[in-house]
Amino acid sequence: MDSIVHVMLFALAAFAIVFASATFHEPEDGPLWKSLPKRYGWFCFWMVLISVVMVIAEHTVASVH
Amino acid sequence: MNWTLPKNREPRGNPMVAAILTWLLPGAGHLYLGLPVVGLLGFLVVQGVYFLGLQLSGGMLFEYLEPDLRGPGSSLLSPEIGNLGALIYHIKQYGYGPGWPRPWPPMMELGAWLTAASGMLNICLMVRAHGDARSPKEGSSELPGLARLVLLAWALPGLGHWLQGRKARALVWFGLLVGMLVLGSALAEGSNLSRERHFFYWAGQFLSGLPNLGLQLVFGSARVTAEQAYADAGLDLGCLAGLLNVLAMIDVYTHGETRALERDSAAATGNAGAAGNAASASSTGATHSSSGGA
Repeated sequence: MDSIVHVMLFALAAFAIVFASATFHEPEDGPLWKSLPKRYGWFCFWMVLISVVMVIAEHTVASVH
Repeated sequence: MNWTLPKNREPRGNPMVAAILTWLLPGAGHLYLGLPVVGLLGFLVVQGVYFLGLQLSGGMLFEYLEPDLRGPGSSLLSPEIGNLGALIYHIKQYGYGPGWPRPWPPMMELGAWLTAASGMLNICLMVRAHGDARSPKEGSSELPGLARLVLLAWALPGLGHWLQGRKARALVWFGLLVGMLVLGSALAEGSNLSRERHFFYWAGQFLSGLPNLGLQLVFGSARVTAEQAYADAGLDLGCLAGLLNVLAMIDVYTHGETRALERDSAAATGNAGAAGNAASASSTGATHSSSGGA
């Protein structure tokens, strides 16, 4: 349950960040809405990748044990 | 001096100088630009709000900080930094208190919000001074009016976009930012709204404008009586909402600036065209009269 809540909070915060970014790149509304799913997908992909790298680092080179 | 512009389209002054002077002392930028009435009004409003806040809080704002966090760097991370002159006066006059805990004045929270609001008002006055400096000495420009839009975009997330006619974006901005602030406050059970408890995170949340003030007045004094599972997540969400509202304010400004510059450019071209037509008409008239005379 805890993990699900955190994933949902991440999804919300990520959408807000992606929307903020997209408003600067797309002055017109039509292209803005169309570009959102792709931007959101890429953002989540890179965040997941960074998370995986951090988890691996925490268990290997950055481990305190 | 810009030699390519007709004399009546020359800007009033250097925008950076006007903005920095306003940062140091509200209204000083407008005095530099030769607009004393705007400067005086700006000074009275911005400094009036700061000194009202100072009176209500008894100058104890920076006693919110833990002793090991007290220093010039930490006070610079507060919204009061927008009104640098008043912040320096505040620190010089009141500092970090006598060194032992004291009871807060009854209106402490409102006073601390007002000094922060003064910083935001002065940032808008800086935007206004920057716009006034770029405006032509004679004639009108929409650049100074952007300060009002920026202020409204801070006061209510999405309102700046709405007033620019970008209503779909306005609704998404409002829903996202106010929704995140409310959800964050619910998760943290209002504990995120206290400036005393979260001095720096509060500065981020403050950027959400009046919704943050409303939540703070209603739920900000809640006592923490048990462990809160999502207090940190709520604090992060609330802070993120405020920080993203800065991007919304910048978006309002840049969109408005582009439109204003297009209109100013069209007006300048129109004026030049009209002046050219007038010159051509007068020379034609002179030719006619000289031919008539001959």
